[in-house]
Amino acid sequence: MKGSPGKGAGLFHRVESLDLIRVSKWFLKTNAVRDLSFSVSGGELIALIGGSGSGKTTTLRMINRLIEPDAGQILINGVPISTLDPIYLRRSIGYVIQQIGLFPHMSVQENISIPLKLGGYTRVDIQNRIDELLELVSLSPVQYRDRRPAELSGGQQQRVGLARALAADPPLLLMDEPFGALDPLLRRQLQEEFIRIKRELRKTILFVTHDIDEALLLGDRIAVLQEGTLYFLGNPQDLLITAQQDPYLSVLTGGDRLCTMRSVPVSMLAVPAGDVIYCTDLSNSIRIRDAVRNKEVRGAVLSLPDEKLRILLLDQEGNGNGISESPVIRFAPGTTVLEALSRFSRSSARAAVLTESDAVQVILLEDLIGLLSGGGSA
Amino acid sequence: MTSLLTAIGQHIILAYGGFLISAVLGIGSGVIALKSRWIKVSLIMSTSLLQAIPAFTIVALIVPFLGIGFLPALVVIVVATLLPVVRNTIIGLSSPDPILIEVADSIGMTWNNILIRVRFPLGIRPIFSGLRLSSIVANAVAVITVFIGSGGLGSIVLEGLVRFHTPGILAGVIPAIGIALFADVMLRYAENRLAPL
Amino acid sequence: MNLPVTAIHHVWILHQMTDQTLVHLTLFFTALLIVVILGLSLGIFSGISHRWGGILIQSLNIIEMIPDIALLLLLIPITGIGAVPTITAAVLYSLLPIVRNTSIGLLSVRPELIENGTALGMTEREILMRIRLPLALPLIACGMRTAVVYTMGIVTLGGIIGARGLGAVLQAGITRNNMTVILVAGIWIGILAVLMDLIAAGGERILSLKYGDRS
Repeated sequence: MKGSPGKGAGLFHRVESLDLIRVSKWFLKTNAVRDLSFSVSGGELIALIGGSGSGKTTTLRMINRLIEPDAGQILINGVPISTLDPIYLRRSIGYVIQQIGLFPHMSVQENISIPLKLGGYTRVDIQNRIDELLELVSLSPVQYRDRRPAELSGGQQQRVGLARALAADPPLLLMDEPFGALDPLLRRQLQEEFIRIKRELRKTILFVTHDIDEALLLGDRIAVLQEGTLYFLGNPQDLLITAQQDPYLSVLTGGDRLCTMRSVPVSMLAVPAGDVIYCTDLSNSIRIRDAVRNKEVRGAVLSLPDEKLRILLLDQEGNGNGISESPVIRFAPGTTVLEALSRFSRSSARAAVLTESDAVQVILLEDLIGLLSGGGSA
Repeated sequence: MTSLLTAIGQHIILAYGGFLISAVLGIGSGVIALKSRWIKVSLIMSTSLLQAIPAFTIVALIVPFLGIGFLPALVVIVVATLLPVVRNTIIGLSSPDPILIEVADSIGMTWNNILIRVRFPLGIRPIFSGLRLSSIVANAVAVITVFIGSGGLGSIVLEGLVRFHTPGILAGVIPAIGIALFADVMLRYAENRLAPL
Repeated sequence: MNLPVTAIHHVWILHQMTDQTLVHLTLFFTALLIVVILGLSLGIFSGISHRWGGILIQSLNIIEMIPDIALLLLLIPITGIGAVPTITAAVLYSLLPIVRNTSIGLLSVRPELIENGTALGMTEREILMRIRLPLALPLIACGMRTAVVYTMGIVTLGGIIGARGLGAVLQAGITRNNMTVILVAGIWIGILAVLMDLIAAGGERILSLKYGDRS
């Protein structure tokens, strides 16, 4: 057995660049990935999207060398990964998959501690780090540390899966449809939380999905794969614009729906006046919280003394006390759906206020996502 | 009475000495089988064919090669008990969901790490059911090996058998059953202590 | 080990091995027939009645823990020596794999298939005969293969309690320290045993290809 390196000693501490150069992979004569080249810069989230058999999972698995490419090279920070020890390479790369793969015979904390033990952390460090990670993924350490995976819901298991992948603080994260098996409501909540985590951690992330809304919401750039080749690479706005002329991308992005939607003013999603309460007097906050919790209103906007706005919303999965507080961003008059989406994706806010005419209108992120997933009121 | 105790002692040394040897060999070759598909297939094929041969036949066939006495008897017990251990170890170690092995790989666990922390814990139940079967077979074969001069409880049984003396047979058989049951209880206990789920 | 054909022939004639092989196979197939009929009926019964089925399988489990030779010898006070205790022990010992596999096979059919059967208006009996039993066949065949091996083992062992058959020839070889007899009889039993196991394995394979639920 090879000796363990010191604390946190991965092969690299930061990802400046990740380059795929003419990478190909064949499976039984079929071409899973064909001559694929693209570059990812540090701190960026690339969403890989495409139909089944488009080679997106294969691409991901070649990056942590679970499979080896038949041709081409993959470089991290300019170093070909084929020259690196796969064991240490993988310790520097977090991997989250749809099936999660928590070890059923280990508790939550044992699962999370594996990468830490491999990384040579001390016992005290491991204990602190586990609590820190559980809090990061919104699970109460005291409540969940000692549970077995079988005692967790699907959403909670995937939170633990994410915590385990993040444990040794890998600078690169590979995610293969991590929220794909969750029901839509829960998926939305985890996506929103993931946006927050992503902002906090600033990691380089490759995120495989087959859900265009997820790609638009999370991706700094989106790579569209088709039959193992790169069909499109660009930011969400470019994708939607290109989709207007391109039949394949148009189908992928939901065609007319999104194309017409992107220029629609976001004010159409404004929450009806009675559904949100505004409150400047923080003394009766208990009553306000009760109102949110009892679903009398959908949210409560608090305007704090320093002019900042916060919003109280009901937490879908019911963590903590059932209420979550999030910042509120401001939209200029005439903001479109597309602009709103890109603003949300760069912030951890779950709501925005639109200062249009005289009235103040509230836009909720969940309504925006609902609209884009086709279930909205539009 | 002393002779019964001696016989029990000899019996235990023979049966469970053989059992321990075959447990070590069997689990070891089960681990090696993970390394190569070819080894795995040939081990499973050869073990399942060997398993078909009656134990009494193996007892007899050892004589032309190793003669009679304690050592050939021990070899017979190892041969007769090796198979369930090998097969169940292979089954047990390959039983974890491939996703778990992939995840373990992706975390950067080494082959040995995965073996010890994932494959063995999740394969405990199949491995132990092989060990329990082997312990019963070892105990039974250790009685039959009296025909090739192994001593032990078999000699008391044989004495009763040639004199058609039922209490004599029972004096040998009942301790053998007791030992088998005791060994099974102990293995069950160990299994439950080791099984993670 | 040099075994000229004439020596083999001599041993074969002297120990009436054709005759003993027939006896051996008769014992084997008699026990196997009884165990298959009894095992299938008890297995179906255990698959239907959880309570009694559980008790039955538990008792068979206990019998299984008794070393086979001990079971054989324990029967002598009750049945005397010879063919009867041999067949009885073989049946008792080989019942468990068939009963257990039949009952597990019947119970482990995917519930949606049963639901579909019910939705199609099948009676309990039709569901048993047309869904549960066919889908349980691969597992039942696997139990039968184990039973074949167990039965062969005990029938051979029966030679030491006067049941005749090839086990008796083997025992004669050992007690007279005659290597030729040991080798001829031993290898011959080995061949027969492996052959029976291969036939059973072939049956198992055919059934699992035909009826295995691979979805």
